[in-house]
Amino acid sequence: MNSLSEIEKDSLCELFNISLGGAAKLMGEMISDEILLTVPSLQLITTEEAKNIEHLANQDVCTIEQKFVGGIGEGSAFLLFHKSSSLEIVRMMMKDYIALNEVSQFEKDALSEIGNIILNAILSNLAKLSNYKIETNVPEFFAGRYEDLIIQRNPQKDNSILLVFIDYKLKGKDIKGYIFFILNFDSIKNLSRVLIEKLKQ
Amino acid sequence: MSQKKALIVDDSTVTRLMIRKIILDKFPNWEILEANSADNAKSVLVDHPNIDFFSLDQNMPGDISGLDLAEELRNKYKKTKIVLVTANIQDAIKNRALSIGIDFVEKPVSPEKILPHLD
Repeated sequence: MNSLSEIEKDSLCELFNISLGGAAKLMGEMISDEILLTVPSLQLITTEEAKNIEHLANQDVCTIEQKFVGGIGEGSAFLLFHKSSSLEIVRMMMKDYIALNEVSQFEKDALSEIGNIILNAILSNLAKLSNYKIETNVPEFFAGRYEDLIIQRNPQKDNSILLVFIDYKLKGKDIKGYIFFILNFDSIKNLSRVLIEKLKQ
Repeated sequence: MSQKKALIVDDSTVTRLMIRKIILDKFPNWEILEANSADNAKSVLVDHPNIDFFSLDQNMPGDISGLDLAEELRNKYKKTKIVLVTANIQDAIKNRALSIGIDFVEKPVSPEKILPHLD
């Protein structure tokens, strides 16, 4: 099994923590509410382990996936909502623009746009901090069982993926979600190497 | 005086809806046209060649980005206000936008970000 040293883990955690920078503020702007974020928890796990993540296994979810490619390698960033929360988030985002009974019509498009904005903000910060160029595609929407989302992933040749989980919560509401990244092991090692070099400068 | 027109080009329905409302709240007499891709925008322009404000999304499906479309439009619409709306303002995009004389707005859109470009 591939592994990361403590300094590699710390450098990556710090990178993702900083990269979240304005993302919470942006999301707060979009839904007119305050977003509370946790410190990233970084896990290097197999696809099989990823399927059994607490709070997500056996859950219906909506995700927006932003695939990216660049010096960092290829990867995906995800914004995940529990299905039960997604319409409430859309309602908060669109309340000034549409009637309440129209909310469900805009669920996919509104969540995709939130994902597009949040994930691009994070990846843009990641690129600046690592000095790697990152190119992104149009985001992809998924609605279904969390396990199906993970099973769809093509396991890397070394069958290990990095999950950087960041929980977020809407202040005063029972709405939680996650941002996570999937990167292959070579990219992870490369990224941490660059960061450690920068820290030494 | 003829009615002013805005063309909003964005593959996101909700963003088009938001920009439409932001403009109409301030300028209720404007005609708002919409397109979900660069190719679709070009089709709209065949029937509506006179546009007073373009709002262009940077990342859209298809081969033509918002910036590519902006460059084409700038050659034809020398004085029309063109705004590039993007979720990811990279330096390369920013510099190219400035070099061809267009403004940019970072998503999420809001009246504070859009309206100054129409005044």
